[in-house]
Amino acid sequence: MSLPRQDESRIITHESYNGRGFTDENSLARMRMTKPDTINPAITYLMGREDKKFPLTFLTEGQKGGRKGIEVNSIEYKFPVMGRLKKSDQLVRLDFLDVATATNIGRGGAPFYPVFKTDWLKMHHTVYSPNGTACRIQGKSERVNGGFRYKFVLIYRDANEVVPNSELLSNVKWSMTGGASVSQSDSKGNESNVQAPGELKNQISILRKSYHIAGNVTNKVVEFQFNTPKGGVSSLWMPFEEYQHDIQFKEACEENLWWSKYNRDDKGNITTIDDETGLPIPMAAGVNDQIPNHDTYGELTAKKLSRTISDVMYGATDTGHMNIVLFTGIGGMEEFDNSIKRDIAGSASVWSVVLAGDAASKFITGAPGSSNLSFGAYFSQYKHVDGHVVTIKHLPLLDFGGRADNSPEHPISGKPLSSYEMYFIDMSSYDGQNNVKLVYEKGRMLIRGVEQGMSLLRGASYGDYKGNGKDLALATDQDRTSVHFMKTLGVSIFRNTHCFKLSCDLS
Amino acid sequence: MENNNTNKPNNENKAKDSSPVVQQKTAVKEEPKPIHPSKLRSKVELSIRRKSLNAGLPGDDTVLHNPKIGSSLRGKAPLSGLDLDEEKVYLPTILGISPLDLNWGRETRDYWSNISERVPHDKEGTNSRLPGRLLLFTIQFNNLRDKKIFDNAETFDAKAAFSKKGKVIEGEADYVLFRYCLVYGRVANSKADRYKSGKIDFYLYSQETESKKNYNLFELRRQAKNAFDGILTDESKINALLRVFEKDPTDTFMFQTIEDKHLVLDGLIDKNPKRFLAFVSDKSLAQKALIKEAVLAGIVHNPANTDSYYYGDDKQIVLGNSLPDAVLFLRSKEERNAQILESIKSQVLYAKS
Repeated sequence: MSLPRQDESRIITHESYNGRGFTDENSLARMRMTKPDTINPAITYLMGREDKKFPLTFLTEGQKGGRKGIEVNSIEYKFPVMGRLKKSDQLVRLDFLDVATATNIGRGGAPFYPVFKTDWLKMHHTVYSPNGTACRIQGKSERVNGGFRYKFVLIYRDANEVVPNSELLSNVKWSMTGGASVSQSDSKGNESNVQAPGELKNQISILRKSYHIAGNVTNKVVEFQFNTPKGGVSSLWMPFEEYQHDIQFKEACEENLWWSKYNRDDKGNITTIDDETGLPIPMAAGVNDQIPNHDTYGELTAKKLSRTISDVMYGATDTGHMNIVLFTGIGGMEEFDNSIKRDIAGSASVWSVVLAGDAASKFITGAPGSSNLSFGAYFSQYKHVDGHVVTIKHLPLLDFGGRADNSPEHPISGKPLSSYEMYFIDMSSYDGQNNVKLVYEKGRMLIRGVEQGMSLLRGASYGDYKGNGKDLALATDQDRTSVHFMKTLGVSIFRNTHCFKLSCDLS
Repeated sequence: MENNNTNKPNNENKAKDSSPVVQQKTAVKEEPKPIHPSKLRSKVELSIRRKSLNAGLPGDDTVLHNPKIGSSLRGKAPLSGLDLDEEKVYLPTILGISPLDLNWGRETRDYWSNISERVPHDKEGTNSRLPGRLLLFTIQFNNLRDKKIFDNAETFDAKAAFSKKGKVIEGEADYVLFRYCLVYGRVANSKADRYKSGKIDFYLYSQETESKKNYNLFELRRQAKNAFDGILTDESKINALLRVFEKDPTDTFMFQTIEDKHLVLDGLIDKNPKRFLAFVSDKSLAQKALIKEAVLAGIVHNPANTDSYYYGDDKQIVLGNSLPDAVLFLRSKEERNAQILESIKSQVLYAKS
């Protein structure tokens, strides 16, 4: 097995030798002494610049004077939530009658005695079965074996009306609807239920990244020019290497926010243990883990899109304006657009419809007779029937991130299947607070440290930028300097009910 | 269509009397007794259940979650649960369009693309025997044989295959969804398969099928234990069985007494009774055990993750690419093979000593 070369991280062009006894163009080329002409010294980013990939970090981490994340003191955190107000209960059995054989249950106002799981249904209230049979609860329930027994009477107009046996089978839900009706006079008071909020739990992840440099690589100039973060170009190697590390770490953080998998079991124990230290490794539930609603598609249709958006918006009537952002890759953006255009066209050709009438001016732009016409227009918003709008936002990690790298190919486009994943995220504000927020441990949002060796790092924030001009405080006597990052992070979606994942599926 | 032999009268050939009255009676007797169509119906009840999904946060009310069975792609077309002929039988009722309609192709494609079926939480269903999304359908068969085969099928895949012999007369939409689930990658086709892939979110469930499967396993275990009872004192056979189960009976750390061997084999029966039954009744058990013993002693080479066996100084002699092949090789009456067998035996004996 060949050993890795120690200097591979620092030397751009390895030294090479020619032992053939003479020198010609070929041996010079082999020794890399001659090169083909370089027509553009600035590096061409074949897959695009890496720094536009992090919409979630951008939207949650906070900008100057903008949004703020949440600082927590421990790894685990919780927040109170109120679910849907419960109005129904499930039937356990019918007492005193055999539901399989009994006939005319409840006929003429005859009482019958269902047993429910809890005493959630309250006396005097009107209750409805799933198919609309209405009954009144007479008096209080009593605790019996297996639940609470009630006395019900059917509310009827026709003396032949009965309670269908199928409505009295176990697990059928009866629901209080329309309050408690009482007589005109001499009525007694009844009871009410109160529902306490529950709690949701999550935790934050702790990410580390380190890189090491050795020798005098900081001062090495290479043959290419790199774009610097400030917009200039440089031939120095180290700023470029550091830029790569920064971008890689930022990408890892963004991916963690999306796809980190929560790793506590039912009993609250962390299931991933570091075998070196024996200590648990907390991993947060990322956005993907927190989305409780999901569906799949093969070829997106407008009907499917509309139904999904309906599901996303369901129960959203308490908000003035919802801001649903659909994060997706290029594939998903195309499917979104195509589904709407296909629906508009029906059985006709898409172009015969979008290029007809007024719509044509939206797809072809440019002056009449111009030789600079522009073709193409794309849908990137969907307005729901109640006025809420879903807006597309490109999530490049679905096209080029780690998940895209090993994703199966879409059979038609050849793009990674992950590019077609669609995450409908409720980015609204509720009670003055953003629904999606970054969470981090107090004082440890990001820590960067240098384990100083004799190798110098350039950069004002590292403390060694004067280099040879002063004595270095060394942490190691090795001619090697290490840079370490540690970041605590997690994302909290307070209302996940309006979040939905729609994935493209291959079977 | 197949004849239903089970309904034929037993005495159909017995009447030989030639009198016209009797002949008439005989003729009546030869007619297969018609079976009422209701007796050729199979009513199927099953449900689609959620696997415990890793979604939401601890504390979430999972009843409110909205996981759905959605559409998918197979190749470049939407995944469909039926073949083209079946689509023509079942989809006209669901779609309200004839297969002769010009839009048939587009409508069926849209139908499969638009599948979006919520699977309720176990607590939500109204059928306590079948929680989740209940599927109910009735299949009319043409003969009792097909119905019986369908009814006795252990797996949903087998049921789906046999269902093609009949016609769904009730619950077509549920039947179509059932067939779709069998090919949709996010639904496991049995409860036992639900952890086979991280992609699986749901599984098909029927108490009847589960009971049948568990009973068959119980029956196999019972047969295996009966067979085991018969060889409890036959230590050479016990050793051979241990060897084919990749255990070394000479390992004194693990097996100090024959009772230790019994306990290990008992555990193996519980885990895989079918395999035990196959081994215990295998006539070449001794040869297989010899090969396994030779492998353990380094005399025969069995490369990791393969079932191939090699012999010789340079491992140049292929005994077989499977254990039965290797047995056949050593059993062969060819002189060279017999010599190799003898050589292996003596080397094993030497290794033991």
